[in-house]
Amino acid sequence: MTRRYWTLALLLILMPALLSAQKARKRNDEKECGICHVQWHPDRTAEGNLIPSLETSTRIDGRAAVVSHKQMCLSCHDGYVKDSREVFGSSNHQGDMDKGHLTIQGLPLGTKGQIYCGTCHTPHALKPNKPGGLAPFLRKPALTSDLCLNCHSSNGKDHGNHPLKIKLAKGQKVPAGGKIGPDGTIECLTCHPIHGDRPTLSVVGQDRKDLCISCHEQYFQIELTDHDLPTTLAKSGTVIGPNLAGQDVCASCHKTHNGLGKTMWSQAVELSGGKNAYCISCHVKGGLAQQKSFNHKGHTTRGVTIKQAVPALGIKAGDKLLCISCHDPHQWEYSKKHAVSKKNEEGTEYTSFLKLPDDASGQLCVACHVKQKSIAQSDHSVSREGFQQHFKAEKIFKGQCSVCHNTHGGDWKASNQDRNRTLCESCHTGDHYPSTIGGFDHPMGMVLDGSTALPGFKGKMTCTTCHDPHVWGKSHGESLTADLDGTDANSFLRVSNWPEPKLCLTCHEEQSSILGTDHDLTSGTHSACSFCHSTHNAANPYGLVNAWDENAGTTLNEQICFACHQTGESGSEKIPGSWNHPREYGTISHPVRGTGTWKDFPLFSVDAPAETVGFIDCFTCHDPHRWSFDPDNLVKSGENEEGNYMTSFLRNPSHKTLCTDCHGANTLWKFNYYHDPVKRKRY
Amino acid sequence: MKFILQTVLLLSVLGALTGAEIVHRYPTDMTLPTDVAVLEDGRICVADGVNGRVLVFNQSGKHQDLRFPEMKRPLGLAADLNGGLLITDTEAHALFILDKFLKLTINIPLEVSIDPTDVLPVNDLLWIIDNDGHRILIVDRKGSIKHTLGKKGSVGPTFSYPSTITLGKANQIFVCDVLNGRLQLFNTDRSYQGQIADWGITPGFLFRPKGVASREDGRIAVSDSFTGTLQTFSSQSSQGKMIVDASKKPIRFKNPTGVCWGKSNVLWVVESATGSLIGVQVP
Repeated sequence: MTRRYWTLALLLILMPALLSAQKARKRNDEKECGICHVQWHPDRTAEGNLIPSLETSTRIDGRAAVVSHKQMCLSCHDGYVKDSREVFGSSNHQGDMDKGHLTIQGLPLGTKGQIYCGTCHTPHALKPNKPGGLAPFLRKPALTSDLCLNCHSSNGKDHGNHPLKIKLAKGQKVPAGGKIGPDGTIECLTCHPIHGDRPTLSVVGQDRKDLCISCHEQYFQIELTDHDLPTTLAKSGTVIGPNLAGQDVCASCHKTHNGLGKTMWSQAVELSGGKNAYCISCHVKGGLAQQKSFNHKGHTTRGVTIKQAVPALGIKAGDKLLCISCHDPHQWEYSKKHAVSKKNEEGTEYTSFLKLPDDASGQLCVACHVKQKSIAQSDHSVSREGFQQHFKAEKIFKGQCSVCHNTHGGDWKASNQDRNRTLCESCHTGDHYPSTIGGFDHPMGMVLDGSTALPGFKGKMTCTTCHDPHVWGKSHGESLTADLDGTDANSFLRVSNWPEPKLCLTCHEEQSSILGTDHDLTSGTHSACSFCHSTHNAANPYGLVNAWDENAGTTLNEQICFACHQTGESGSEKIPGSWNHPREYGTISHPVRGTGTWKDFPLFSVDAPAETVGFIDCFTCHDPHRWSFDPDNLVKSGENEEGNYMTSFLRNPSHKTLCTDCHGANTLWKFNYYHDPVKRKRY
Repeated sequence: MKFILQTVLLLSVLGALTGAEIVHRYPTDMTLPTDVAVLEDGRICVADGVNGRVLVFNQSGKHQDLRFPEMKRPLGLAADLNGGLLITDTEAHALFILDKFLKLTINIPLEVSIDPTDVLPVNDLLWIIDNDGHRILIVDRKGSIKHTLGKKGSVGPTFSYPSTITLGKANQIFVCDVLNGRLQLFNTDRSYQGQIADWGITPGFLFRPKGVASREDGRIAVSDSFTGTLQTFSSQSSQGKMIVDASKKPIRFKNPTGVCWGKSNVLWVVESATGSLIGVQVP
């Protein structure tokens, strides 16, 4: 009884407090939801309640859902609970917004199909502190672009749009105010604020410069160059291209969304033309850059696969050769030290959007053409005095490669003129160069018969048939060769001519019979050929002979042969005692007689070969390149083998000469009389 | 004397009969403006924080921009005791003191955690509302915090997002307590005097009280940003009184925020949603 009394008394005492607490809890529960769900308030139907009559985007339980009206949202987000003034004050992603052409999936829309606050937001979904949630209360993660792509799916496609989900590279910065994804990736919010007066961060009007430069600073060397179309087109003063007024420099070529291809190209281009089409679409007749139109002349840009990586140009093995292999359209000058201005500056070998300059070492070209690299160390270097004087005289400047090559203008295939020869002679016949030619030189223009691998110009012999102007000599590598005296092994010869005269023998194979004979005078500097012959600036045009002694005889042949076959010279042991055929009687040559070629029995005048009528001289009977006319006796059997009627460099056996034609049975007698002083005495 | 009393009585009766009336409407290009303050010389200042400025209106409604580099996103305004202007800035996290020529004289930087939505000069001290901190900071004019009042809560001297503050008669200070739907009442000696009104959706209650202003006669005007209504209270009673028009219907606004009494019983109301400054003649 006592316990019951006390229990009852305690209940009576605590009842008001319990009721009060219950009421308070009920009130708090009501308020917890009613703070937004005002229509759940008990007084919602009370006479004179202050709930405003609002046109709402949604309905709940058949009634206008005041809870999701913008006015309810704004009642807290006006700066006095959460400061979202900029959000609500922006024109971007406003409530009750027409969805336009967008296809929206998985997000609620208003009763009229419009976008309202609740399309993206709900306080019942992702809380601000949830990963990817991002305040305030989004239905889907925004930091991962999931929310945005729900409506803007086309802007998330790889091609034509700026890529998403890629990590910022070293040195790239998040645009001011931008956000990156949870893994440090670029997402929609990196550039776009969902709300705000500007549709894109750091964008002033149509100028995205500050946005793009956050990550792509290296490309902004393009400013004020000819590729800065907003500048150059504005300067033109007329409408000759797209209207880029007020836009940033990137707009010349790129659109962030819905562009063309991976490069997000902003201008019309036919991509079937390959990647070069991006460039050629402007650099074509009638294009924006028609002054610098591409003409398919010069360096090829099609169908070439680069086999080895070229790090200096950012080329990987297997890449196709493209315009951008050599050019960086974002950078007028490779070192970034050249101040550009709005002036329409003509390009040079150092500028012209080249990735590397064609300077004195030909950096750009030799990056790929490695074998030509040594030219910069040779007498063909543009640093040489001759070139410098030439540049000064002509008031021009050329790089190591462009001094001879015109990358885009050269049309070598279209002309029948031997431009190789023209090019070489443009220097080697001038006053600036020590190695001037133009005297008695090896003839050119002969058809190369195909038996040689040496190059010609349109199949005909030219300077570069024998010479590679880029390489002084294969054994020299990249070492300095300027000012070296040339030998048969170098001298820019394509094939070494020493010790074996391989270059000469490539075409003059039949003369190889001289090797190993007494006439093979190969020395430490001269081959068997060059001892007697000089390819350039020879003493006379006949055989380009350089072994020459004007005092040794009275005829061309004598002066050549007796230069050696005289006392004190290398052929002193074989000085003929008597040799001259009476010269007052002319001899008619084989061709005139119709019985053979001139070489069968060559005739001469005093100072030249005689094609029709001449007299007999040394080379009439002797071929200095062949020890014997008999193939079996071509090679000497011993070092000092004495010659006889079968050898002795005789051109033909006696019976095949013209001698018997004139002298009949007396031939031998006459021969001995005129050639053998001992026998002559007998007569 | 009798005539005067009769005239006052007549005007009161007429006022009661005619109700309140909108006498000024100044639409502007402001974006979600927040607070309003009437200066000693009659100029009216409105905080346009989104645009980083304060608009200064003359009596005819013409206005000029007030900007200075230190000001980023002003939110709260109050007339200073010397005729100048006090500005709270929620982005700069600062309190700016301007002289009567509206030149910045003192920049009081606040801690980043402080969210200053309004300020009230009380003698030599400044009472600053720390909205996110659910408290009142009392600082001197050098920025040194002397006292703090309140914490987050719903009972007693607590707050749930306090917004604005005003000084009433008899050293009473009224603070709008937004999510608690009430006014908190303090004495200038910082003693808690209780609350006025309560959270609700019917007349006499407050749903989203935002702006508070005290008239010389002691009537406290409060704006409700959701219901779009204005009510007045006295410090002695929780019974609110709707500001209604001649037809006895509440005058509605679109998201009214800051309020401030001007001359001739005109209550200046910031209609945030429309970026307008509206003057209401209240009997």
